[in-house]
Amino acid sequence: MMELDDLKTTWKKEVNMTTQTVDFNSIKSEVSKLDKHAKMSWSIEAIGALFGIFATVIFTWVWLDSPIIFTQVVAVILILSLVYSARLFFGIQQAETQDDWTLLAKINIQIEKREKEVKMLRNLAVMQLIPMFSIMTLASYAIYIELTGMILPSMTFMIGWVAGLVYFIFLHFHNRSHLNNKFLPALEQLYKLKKQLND
Amino acid sequence: MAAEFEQLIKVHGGRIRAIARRYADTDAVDDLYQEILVQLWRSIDSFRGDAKPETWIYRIGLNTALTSVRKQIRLREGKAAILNSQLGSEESLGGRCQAEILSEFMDSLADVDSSIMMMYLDGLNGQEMSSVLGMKLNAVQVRINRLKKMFSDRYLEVE
Repeated sequence: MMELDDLKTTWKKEVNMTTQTVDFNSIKSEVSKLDKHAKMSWSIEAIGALFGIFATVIFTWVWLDSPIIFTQVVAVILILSLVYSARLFFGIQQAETQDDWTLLAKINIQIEKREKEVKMLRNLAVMQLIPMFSIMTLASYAIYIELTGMILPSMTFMIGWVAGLVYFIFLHFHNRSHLNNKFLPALEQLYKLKKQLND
Repeated sequence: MAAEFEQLIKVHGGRIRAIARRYADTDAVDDLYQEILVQLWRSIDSFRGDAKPETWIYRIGLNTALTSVRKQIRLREGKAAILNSQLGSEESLGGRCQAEILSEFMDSLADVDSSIMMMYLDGLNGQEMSSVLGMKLNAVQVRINRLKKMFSDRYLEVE
């Protein structure tokens, strides 16, 4: 006759099995590496956005003597879109669920973050790529007018725009594949775990 | 702080490795073990000694294992499905040691049941399990009874 409680001794044996010595320094260095990586990725995004804003301001209102209204409007739109993007990326990392250290709370936090990421990736084309491509097109056109004084874009300039369009289309499909192969399966797994805890 | 942590790991290293073994494929156990150690070190401040070290280790260990290692969990689920289908045949149950039965039974469980089983075998009470998982105490007790019954149905007559 064997009951579940009989396995307690076996489990104790497994738990008391000797383990190799822990390299404490490697743990500490791993933690600082992860912290550095997290800080670095935020810094890169923040610095990128700040640099974009700074470059736009310098180019439009300092470098150009007297920019036309069109250039100034495009510059303002570009600055606003950079601020919006930075805010959006920052918001994704925030979860409203309070961490009370239980597995359920941890899963809820993960679900909240993954859902935001999935929502953002699903709407990326409409919310980010198309507006960003339009703004970049307008900005480059404004620069073109300022530098050449011509209204009609040259053939080289048109080729540049087409290359930009191809790049944005590539980004769109890259994100879709990332969404389907990474984020949705991870979210599915989290829903399953939550269901197991709630059943 | 570092000395205190090292002492904790010295005492509970086996427990952490046992958790890692349950939730990762053989070749990924070391990675998960290391990941749990990293998370334990990051949250050492949250361990103030007002909870049992075992509870704290299960809390961090299960959080890490169940929410970070998606790939390994998927593989583990596949393994569990195969084991479940094998367990349908009673002829295959005879003549095995308890360690094999423990491993086989745990592998056949869903992730949350498996974690309840680990904590139960380790002597944590329902309240402690409930505080680790975020489930109601009643729900934990129901799960434990269900696990006992499942185990009896599977192994009682055969062994």
